[in-house]
Amino acid sequence: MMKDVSFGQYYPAESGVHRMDPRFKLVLMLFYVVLIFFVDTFVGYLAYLAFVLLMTGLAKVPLRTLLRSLSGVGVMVIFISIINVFFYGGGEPLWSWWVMSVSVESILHALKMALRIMLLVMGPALLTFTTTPTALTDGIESLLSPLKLIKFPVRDVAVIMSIALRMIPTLMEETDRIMMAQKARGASIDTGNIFRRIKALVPVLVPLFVGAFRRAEELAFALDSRCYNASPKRTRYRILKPGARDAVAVLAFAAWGTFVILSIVLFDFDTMIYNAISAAIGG
Amino acid sequence: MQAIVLDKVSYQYQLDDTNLVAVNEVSLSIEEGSFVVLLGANGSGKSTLAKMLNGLLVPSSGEVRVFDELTSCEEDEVVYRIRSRVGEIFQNPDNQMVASVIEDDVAFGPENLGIPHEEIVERVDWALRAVGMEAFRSHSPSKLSGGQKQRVAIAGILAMRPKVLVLDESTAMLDPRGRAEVMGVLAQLNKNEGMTVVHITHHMDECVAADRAVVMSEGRVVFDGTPKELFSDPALVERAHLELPPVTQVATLLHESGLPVALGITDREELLEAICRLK
Amino acid sequence: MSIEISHLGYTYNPKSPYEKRALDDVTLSIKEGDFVAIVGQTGSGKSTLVQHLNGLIKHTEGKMRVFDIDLDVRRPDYKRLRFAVGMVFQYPEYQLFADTVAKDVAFGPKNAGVEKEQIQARVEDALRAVGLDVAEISERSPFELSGGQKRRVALAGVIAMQPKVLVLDEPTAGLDPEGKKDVLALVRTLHQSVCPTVIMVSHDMEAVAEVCSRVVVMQEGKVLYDTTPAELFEKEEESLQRMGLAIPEAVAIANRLRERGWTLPAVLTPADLAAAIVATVKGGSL
Repeated sequence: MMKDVSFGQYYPAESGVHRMDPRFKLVLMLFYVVLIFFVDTFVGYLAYLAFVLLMTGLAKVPLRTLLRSLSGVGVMVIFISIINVFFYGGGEPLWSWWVMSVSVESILHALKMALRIMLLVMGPALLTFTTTPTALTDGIESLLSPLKLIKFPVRDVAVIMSIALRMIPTLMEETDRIMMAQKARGASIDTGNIFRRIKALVPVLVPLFVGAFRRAEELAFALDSRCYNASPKRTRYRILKPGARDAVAVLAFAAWGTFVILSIVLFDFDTMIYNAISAAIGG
Repeated sequence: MQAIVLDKVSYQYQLDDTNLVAVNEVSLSIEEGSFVVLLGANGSGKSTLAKMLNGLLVPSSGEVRVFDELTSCEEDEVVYRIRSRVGEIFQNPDNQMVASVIEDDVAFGPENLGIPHEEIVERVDWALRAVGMEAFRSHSPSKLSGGQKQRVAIAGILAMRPKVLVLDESTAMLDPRGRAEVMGVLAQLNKNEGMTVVHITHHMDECVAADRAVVMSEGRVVFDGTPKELFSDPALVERAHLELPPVTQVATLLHESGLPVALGITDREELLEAICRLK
Repeated sequence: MSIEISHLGYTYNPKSPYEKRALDDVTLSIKEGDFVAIVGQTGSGKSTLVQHLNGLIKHTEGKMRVFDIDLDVRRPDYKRLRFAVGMVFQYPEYQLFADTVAKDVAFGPKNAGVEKEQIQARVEDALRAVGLDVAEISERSPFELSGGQKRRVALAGVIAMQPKVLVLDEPTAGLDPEGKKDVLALVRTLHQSVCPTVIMVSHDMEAVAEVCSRVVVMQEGKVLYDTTPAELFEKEEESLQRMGLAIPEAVAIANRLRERGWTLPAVLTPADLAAAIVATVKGGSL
């Protein structure tokens, strides 16, 4: 039932992006996300969009899968767009009533905000489509390893992440089972008004939590039996080795990133767009 | 060589204000290379005993020695040596795996032990083949059946190259097919690799192929002998709250009604011959 | 007929890469008093079928009626259905959630809209029916009970709804021999007293032979056999084996003896078989 969650699911394919060293993908994704907050021009957003579409193509991920990752934020995007259209309060109002006012600027601004949210979701989604959970945790563990010097428990964090990822499908199945059992006893989990549904969560959450603690206890015995923490000198089954394609990716990303930064300063076509639209409307 | 020796081992714990005794002065030794089945009903103490075999639990009195090292020793080196020599698999197939990909999970034990990379790869390959799961190496654990998950758990322990395999009720949550898969793997490991196996269960039919059967009841050992001897003692089986396999039940009932059928028959063909001789 | 199922079909995730035909042209009638076992390999559709019985899943083809509740309409009366058909899942002890046993058992009746004054009586009746001591257990937390007690409390929680049909999914899963005996005895008692119709999904052929009056064998979403245990195990041993299902040992032995010329009445349990052999040998009739 709850198993078709598109965001965060690995999409298996043979592509250069899939084969990249996860550490590079993680770091580049970080830059991608940080940079987006500095972008406020249409050219910049267009560059981002082009980047996402190009990456999706290179990764051999179908467009539909990428778009499905937006389903989670659909409501938020619409909500924010509406707020911005009516309350941005910049430029000459085309229509106003009480505290709300719509202007060419507010519409364009809403469009930009919507784009920003969607791009913010699609980038990391692409990361998870092209990187297995194992590769992700290995990559994060490797990137965090310098923190070992300040006694940060990098290995523990990595194992916790790995266990959490491994447990997600199992916990989802268990939630399903518990919900079915309580529904069978007449609980109104997916019917009734919002208050009834929230109250109906208790018979699901309590067993889930109790179950989770039980699992944790059993896992602890398993971890002990498998000599977790036996040796400070821990070795790896999977070895991350950067390759030529990672170097190419970094260079390409750097070039793109530079373009985006320049576009913020140099190519401000926004005023032109604004003027063109205002003229078209008949201002 | 005695792999594991228990000397007057007891385990007590407090629940509310009462002192409960789970294991009561048990003395036992497990010989290397043997296949021992430890039987008992729920509450007999068998699971607690299982956890004392590799030092997960330490006895409140008495000693447990694993290859001549005390499990109560607090030195890390000894603790982990014991645990890597006596590998343990538990009841719930889901709560033993830590990675989202099977081969990574099997590699977890050797990684913790600091085994060099190339050797880990070899061990993972070997372990998966030994349990018949190499085709699933890149799969996720969540889509496997119970029997398959337990086999992966066994592989995860095998990769540490233990001398003894302890299975703490590992077949209790499996369907008949899963149980057969696991028992098959154990028999093969014992026969072909000389692995010492201690299998803890409440299913009596799982001890038919074993060298030795030990029965626990209320924290004590009430039987220690061959499976055949055990099956021939229906009164004991009942006292221990266990149940004879159906073939043996028939043999027992026939014997008790005065017919010349031996007790303790576990093989269907043997029983059929005995019955046909009644004509 | 209490339950009428006619040419039922169900497909998971239609039109997607995960499409799976779970049920295919299933026709079945269950009447009051039946004690039906549904058996089959994992993936045979038995769980899917059973989840249709109390409305957790809605069929995509065919017709279905439970008592007077029509399940073909767009919005069947699931509320009434769930209180007429009580369902106990596998490892039901994992769904306990309330502060006290009494409150957990009362959950079902409360949802059914039973009046406050009557709930107490229902809870007590249900606890007694599963063999628990009301005074001793009502106010305890379900989480401090033993596994066997927890399972009984979960069972009581369903019985308290006074369903006319009881559906059990692997009721003996994970239990030791004595626990199994107790649960089967309990189910049999319930069948003879408060829940006249029982449907049991099980892997345990020995248990099926012992308590059920009818067996439905499923494979790949279809019903292959629908007959009495004696008929099924005596006549279809080979095909069951090919499907990966075992038959009770006692029946297998009886079949072998019959092949060697013995004349035996229908047997289902080791006790039956032993008695039959003794009678044959001592009675001198072969």
